Amino acid sequence: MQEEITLYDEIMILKITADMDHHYADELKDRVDLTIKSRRIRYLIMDFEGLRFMDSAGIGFIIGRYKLLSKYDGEIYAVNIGNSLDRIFKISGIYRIIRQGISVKAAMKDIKEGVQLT
Amino acid sequence: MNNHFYMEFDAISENEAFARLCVAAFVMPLDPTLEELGDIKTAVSEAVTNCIIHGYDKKGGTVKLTCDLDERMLTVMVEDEGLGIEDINKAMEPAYTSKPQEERSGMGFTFMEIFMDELVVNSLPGHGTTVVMRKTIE
Repeated sequence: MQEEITLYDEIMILKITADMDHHYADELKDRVDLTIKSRRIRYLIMDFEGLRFMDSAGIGFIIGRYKLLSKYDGEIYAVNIGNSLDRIFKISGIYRIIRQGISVKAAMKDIKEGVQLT
Repeated sequence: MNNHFYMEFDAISENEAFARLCVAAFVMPLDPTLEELGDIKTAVSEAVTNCIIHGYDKKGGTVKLTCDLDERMLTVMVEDEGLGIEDINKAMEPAYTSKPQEERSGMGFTFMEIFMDELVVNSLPGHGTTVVMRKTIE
């Protein structure tokens, strides 16, 4: 396993340090989905600080988790987006379905404040 | 510099990283920028992944990878002898995927097109697909 999963109530922080290709995305999604379902996760924060590589399989992974979390009225945050990742995100139009955060901390604050309002 | 390599490997997902790292190593003497290197790696990864998922429908086979360097122009050819593509234009539409149930993004060909200077796709249903990509390393 080349990722780190941390859970806080309804929030999952997923720190990705591996190369996000089809091979890795396919095995990662099963582990992540199992946790989302069993722990009733609604918010996924993806931390890309240690990311070295991503191709369209990473986009597929985000779309898949978006569909799953939408069922629970949840959301995906992406933080620490580097230049090359930003380019891939823009081309694929993924910013329409995810929220951008400056840091894990900022995303968590955003979620918690939102949760309190509802 | 002129250079050439050819290799064959099994159509398994472990080889996606292997293939893109081989091509990255091949162009290293040209001292590409990090962005150029990232572009090439992404495009190769997309083409090879397509062979594994679509060409051979994850049932395995052989992927052929040929790279040529003509001065600063890199040509990458990725071939499979798999199922082939019925409608190439449709396959190349952004966000189109023939496997929506498998949460594919449908961005593979789009990334190849954008990250490389030139992309040519040839396919014959039942016989396989060949992708040729070119990029000049500035």
